[in-house]
Amino acid sequence: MKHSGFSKLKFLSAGAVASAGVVLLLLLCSCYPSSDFNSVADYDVVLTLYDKEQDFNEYVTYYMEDTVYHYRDPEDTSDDNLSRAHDALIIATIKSNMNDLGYQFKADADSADPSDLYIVVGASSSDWYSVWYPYYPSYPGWGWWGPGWWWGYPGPPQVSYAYTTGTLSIDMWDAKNADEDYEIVPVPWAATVNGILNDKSAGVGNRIEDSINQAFAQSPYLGTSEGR
Amino acid sequence: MKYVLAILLLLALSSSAQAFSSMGGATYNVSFALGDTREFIDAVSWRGWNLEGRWFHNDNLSFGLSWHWTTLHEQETGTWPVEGGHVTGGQFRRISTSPFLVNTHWHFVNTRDRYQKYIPYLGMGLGAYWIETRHEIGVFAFEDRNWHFGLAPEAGMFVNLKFETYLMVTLRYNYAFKSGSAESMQYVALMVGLAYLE
Repeated sequence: MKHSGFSKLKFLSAGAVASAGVVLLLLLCSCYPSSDFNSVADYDVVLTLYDKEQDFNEYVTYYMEDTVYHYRDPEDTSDDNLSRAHDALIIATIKSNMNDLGYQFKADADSADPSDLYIVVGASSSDWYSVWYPYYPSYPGWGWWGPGWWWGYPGPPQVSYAYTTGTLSIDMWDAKNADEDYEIVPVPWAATVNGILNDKSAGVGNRIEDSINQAFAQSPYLGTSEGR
Repeated sequence: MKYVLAILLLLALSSSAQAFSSMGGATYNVSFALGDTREFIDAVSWRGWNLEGRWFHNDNLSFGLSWHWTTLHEQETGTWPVEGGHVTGGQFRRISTSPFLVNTHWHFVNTRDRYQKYIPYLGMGLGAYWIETRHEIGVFAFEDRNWHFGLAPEAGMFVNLKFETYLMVTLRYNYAFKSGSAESMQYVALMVGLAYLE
């Protein structure tokens, strides 16, 4: 309301409002809050993709080598410094989960009676980006799936992969249903744990084990009817 | 008869003497996400402010401008579905919005009471919403920045503190329409601050 006799007080009131406005403007500096994640483990990411049309109960046996394949940017000529200290732990943890799901491990590859699944374990030993599958391990007894073959990944059709050094990948190849004509190996399930193998801290073994267990835990569709 | 004339004279005088000509105000805002925005961030924003000015066309009707800032954020660790699978990790999600609105208000001014303690009002704003979203999963971050068209109906009240200084309390609903691939956003803001009316 108008109080013409109080021009000084009006000035003070206007100043108070203006001051309040300035204080509020100063709050602008805190308008972009960031996350409170501060440990390395906070940044672990476990991603699993799967073929929704696949009945994983159809699989019975699997084969897996005692090897973690290292793959890298083909143009990277530096030495492969990625540690193999946890390879045995990685293989054992995957095997334990597969066995718990009811899948039977076949120790020997046999081309006359191949396993249903071929579990391929890899680790990126350099940073790179690709829409191609990065390595071509052979399946003993089945020969060589070399360049020219496609890997039929589940999930979105245009998935591309950013491989951070130390990224662990676990892929389930449907070996029996490889399409020789179109040179495609179906991959009904794939898991990646970003960057974890590049960490040299003391507790990384537990994080690796937890991450692999998490990959299987968040995939409840896996397993035989006996194992679920 | 003389009483009637007196009342008519009073009414004529009161209507010719406009109560206010302009208003400047600043508020602190607390915001709550609604709808799909709440699906993305289910949190209360304690970071927000608003500056606005109104120019009165008559005792009741004003036109004005306002600019406010609101930031919603949430952090959690868990497993979420993604296209074709699931992802587990720590997530941090943030939406910051800065709307520039033109608005109009209707004030329920009692022109016969120059020292009215409470002045309620209804208003509607229209304008451009600048919205930034950030979604972090582990070491990955996805950002999006877009202009949206939006509207903001509101209800509020001025409470006279002293002379031309008022406490200003507004409840404003904000809806920013979908813009290209960017989703719509809606939230309600409780705004409390000071206003200077003259």
